Amino acid sequence: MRRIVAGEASNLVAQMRRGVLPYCVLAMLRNREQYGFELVHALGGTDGMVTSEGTIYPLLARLRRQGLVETTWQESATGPPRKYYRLAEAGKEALGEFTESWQRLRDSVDDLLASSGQEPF
Amino acid sequence: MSSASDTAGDRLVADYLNRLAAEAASLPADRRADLLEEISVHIAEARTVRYAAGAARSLSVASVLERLGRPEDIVREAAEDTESDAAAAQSPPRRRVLDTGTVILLLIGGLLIGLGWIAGVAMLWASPRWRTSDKLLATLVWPGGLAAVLAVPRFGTGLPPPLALSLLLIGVAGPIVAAVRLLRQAWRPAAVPPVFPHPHKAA
Repeated sequence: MRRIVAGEASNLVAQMRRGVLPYCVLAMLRNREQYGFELVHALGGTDGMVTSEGTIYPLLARLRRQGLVETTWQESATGPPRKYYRLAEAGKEALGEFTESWQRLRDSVDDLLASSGQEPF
Repeated sequence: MSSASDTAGDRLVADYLNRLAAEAASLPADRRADLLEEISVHIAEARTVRYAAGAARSLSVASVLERLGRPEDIVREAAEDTESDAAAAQSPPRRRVLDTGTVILLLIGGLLIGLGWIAGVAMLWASPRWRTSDKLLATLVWPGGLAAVLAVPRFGTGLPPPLALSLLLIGVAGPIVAAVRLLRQAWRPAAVPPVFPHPHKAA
């Protein structure tokens, strides 16, 4: 097992954040399709999820390449046409699997972090 | 909004997009184009939207760009899992050495050892670097490369000197031009993107 280094927690949390971010994006598309700026703005507003809003666009592009989201162009009254992102079937499945795994992990970790260390027997 | 701050903002945006375009030179062309467009559109939208209900003005351009983040960070994110694409865009070093050797063989292989040119042709057709049309040209137009030049004195003794000289010059220039063309394609790096003259403007 790797040595745990003091102060490393923030680095670990940053890595976890990066890992779950794609699924958070998928979750945001669960109920309705959204265009790039909406998504980026909403994610940027959620505490600590994203340090650089611009990096969401490559993430969205990657999700599209992987077939998890689909894009359509829609006319906008106020400017150029907008690229809307929509959850694809594969994306729905991936989101479902992740949600289940995440909830189990989250609950387990919460329990252990809160444990009082009582003797089990 | 005063026109002076608009112009200053436009300059900031143009600078930012130019930096982004430069950083993104290493990306595959389609990915680079998409990214540049998406960021441009984002900036245009962000400059016009009101971030808070009742806000008197939208965010300053500087804030929008700061929230977007550094171009190098954005491009680094876009470059993930691009390794295979990048390899296709620019030949790895070993391939470039092989391709250079191929061109040398095509050019002078006939002069040194007759079979050298034939080996060069085999390597030419085996290489993934060149298009079929280029390969055909290199093979058929100047068979034997510079060795064809040796044929002129042998078969051209009956020709008037000016004609013989012209044929000699063409015989030398032709293979060299073809070789240079093949080499440039073998060594070509990923294309550099255009510079942004001005940012998108929302209607």
